[in-house]
Order: sequence, then C-alpha cells, then structure tokens
Amino acid sequence: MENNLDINSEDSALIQAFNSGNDHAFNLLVRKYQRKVYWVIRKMVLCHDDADDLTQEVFLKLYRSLKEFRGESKFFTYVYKIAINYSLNHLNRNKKILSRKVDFDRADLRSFDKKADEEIDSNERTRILEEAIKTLPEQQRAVFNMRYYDNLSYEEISIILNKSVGGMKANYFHAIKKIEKSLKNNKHFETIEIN
Amino acid sequence: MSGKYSIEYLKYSLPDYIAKKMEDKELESEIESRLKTDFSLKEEYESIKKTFNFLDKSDFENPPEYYFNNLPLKINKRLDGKNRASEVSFWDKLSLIWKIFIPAVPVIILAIVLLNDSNSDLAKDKNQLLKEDKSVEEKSEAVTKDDIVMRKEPEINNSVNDNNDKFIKDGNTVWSPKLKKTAKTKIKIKNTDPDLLTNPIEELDDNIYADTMDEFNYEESEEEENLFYSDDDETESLEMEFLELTPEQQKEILDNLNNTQI
Repeated sequence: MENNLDINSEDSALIQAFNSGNDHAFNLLVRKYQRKVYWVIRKMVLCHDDADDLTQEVFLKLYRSLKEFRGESKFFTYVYKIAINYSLNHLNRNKKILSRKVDFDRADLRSFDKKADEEIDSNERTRILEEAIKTLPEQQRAVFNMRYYDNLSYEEISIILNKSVGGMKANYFHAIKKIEKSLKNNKHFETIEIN
Repeated sequence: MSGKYSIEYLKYSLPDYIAKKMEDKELESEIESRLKTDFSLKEEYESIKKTFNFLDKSDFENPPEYYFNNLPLKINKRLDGKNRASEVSFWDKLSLIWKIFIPAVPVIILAIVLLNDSNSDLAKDKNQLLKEDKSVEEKSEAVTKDDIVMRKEPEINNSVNDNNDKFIKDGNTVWSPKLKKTAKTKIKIKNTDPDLLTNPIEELDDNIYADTMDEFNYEESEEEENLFYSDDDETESLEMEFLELTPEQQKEILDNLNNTQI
C-alpha cells in the first residue's frame, strides 16, 4: 500500500492511508502542500521566521485534525483555512510589534531615498512591496493575497473568511487602493514605473 | 446596456478587469465601453494598472535554499517529540508524583502522630475534667448529705415535738406538747376535789407532774429515754427544755398553767 502512494496521489487516497495508520502518507501531504502553505502564511506575516513556525504549527494541527476532515470541501481549502486562521491570530497578537517595524523600515527607506539615481534592485522592490502590504488591515491583507496571488474566487474567499461575497470584492478594491497610496508615498515608485 | 451597473460597482470590478479575471462577460463589456466615455473611471483604471504593474514585477524574499527540503524533517521531529512526550508523560507524571509524595510522606505521618497526640491529650483533659466534675459533685453531695445529717439531728431532737402543736387537756391533765419528749413530763394539776386537798397551795410543787402519767401516751424509745432523761436530771432537763422553747411557747404554757385551777 505504501509503495502505491506518492506526492502526486489524490488527496483522498493520501488522507485515507493516513487515517489507516500510514504516517508516510502524511509525509507526502506535507511535501505536496508545504510551499503553498508557507507562502500563504509568509505573505500574511511577511517574516520568514514567523512563517516557518506557523507553517509547522499548521501541519501539526493537520496531523491531529485530519481524521475529522469529512471531504465536503477541497482538501487544500481546508488546509488554506487553517493557515489563514493561524496567520490572522498571529497578526492580531503582534499588531503593536508590526507597527513599530513599519516605522523602522520607512526610516531605512528614507535613508535609501538619498540614492535616487541608483537602479532599484529586486530587493528594494521587495522591501517596498512588504511595506505596502503592511499598511493593509488583516482581513484586507488576506483577501488581497488570496485573490491577487492565489487566484481564489470571491466565493472561496467568503467561505474561508466566513464573509459575504460582495464584501470580499469591496475589500479587494480597497486593499489595492491602500497599496497604491503606499506606493505613491514612496519616492522610488515613479522611478520604478519608468523602468 | 449602459446604466445597468453603478459607477461604484464598475470601479470595484476594475482590478479583475485589469488582471483579466472577469467571469461576467456582460460586466466586462460594460467596463470596456464606459472607459471610453467616463473620465473618472479611466483615471481609476490607470492608477490601479500602475499598481498592478509594480506588484507583478515585485516578489517576496525567498526562504533559505534548502528550507523546503528540511521542513518535513522539522515537522516529523516535532511530531516525534510530541508522541514521545505523550508516551513519557505517564512516567513523568508518576515520577512527579513520587517526587512530591515521598518527601510528603514523613510530613503526613508526623501530622497524623501529632494529631493523635493532641486528640489523646484532649481526651485525657476531658477525662480529668469529668473526674474533677465528679469529685466536685461527690463533694457537693457529701456536703449535702452532711447538711442533711446536721439538719436531721435537730429534726431528731425536735421530732418528738412535731406531732403536737397545741396543748392536750385530758381531764385534769394538761399535756404540754413541747415537753412531750421527755419521758416523765409531769404536770401537776390541782386536785379539784376539796375533800382531797388539804393545802392546795402546798400541793403546788416545782415539779410538775401528771397524775395520769400512765395515760401519757407518748412513746419513746429506750435510747431516747437514756439520752434525754435520767432520774437525777429530771428537773434540770425540764428546765432546759423550757428554756429552749420560744418565748411565745413559754408564754403559752404559762398561760395554760395559770388557767388551770391549781
């Protein structure tokens, strides 16, 4: 039974094998979804170390709760929901720390602004991006990430966050407007656009 | 076609339109036509497009190179640690219990011993108190008994007077109840027979004695007789008895004597 399973096996087969006592099946599920889970969390919390801890927590939670999964939704939707919830809880706990971190990053950027004539490398883009996303409230950040980066439908987003579909569309629009405002406040934004 | 959607709804749909994620074709065409005529919608479109251009070219910092190779191992390690913890937890708990219980045993034993001692002391004290109470009670009883005995003696002495509260006149004999206790209380009564009397006055004697002594129905024991009477002490005892009476009683006796025709 164990030899028939691999990372490309159906989720239902892997889950069934795991529930039968096959821990190798769980390892396959981890390898199959670890990147997706990590990036969902990483784009929410923006810090690699925090994302690493939370990713492990999500899979530990999955290990304990997989027997309760009834298959009514897609498996990844189930995993995604756990990941988003853990991320939101983490952000709520660290609200004050994040705000201090934004100020520090802005200070760094202001010092970097003195090198306006230099080409902005990808690292700087990343920093500008992360700074812009930090300005988003937790729910708007989750909606933006799920829609823009993960291409989830508004219906799927509403199920994961337990909100209305129309509200998700408005959240997405306002999130983009906030990112736009943050980028406009950055002197390098016009330069980036030209390039 | 125009006017079906509000300008605000069209603006909310612009991000999906720009990202080419529109599912509603009718809405998509509406936006396309309104962009040609509506300046505010056009301006909104340009700013969102600019933002998306930046986002498309930007990315987050990648994790370390072998991070995803190690992540399953880290997760398994944590799972093994939790499982081991759950296996050991029983023994940990047991050891914890022993760590606490063993030092606590002598303390518990000492507490029990002290408690027993205090209880026994209390019991001893209680018994002692009970004994003291008993002895006190006994003493009080003894005192009571003594009091009774003491009270009884005069009662014994006065018992012979209890039966008579008034004088008994029996013919020419007047019995003094107060003097009844003496065996030979004699009350001399004047003989009213003139033939018998030669000197009535001389007949009077200090010794008062009754002619009908035999009819003296006072009963006394021989002991009492010995205690209270002797031939030689008869007069003295009568006098003592009389003196022991209350003034009222003495007066009463004397009045009765005077009333009698002696």
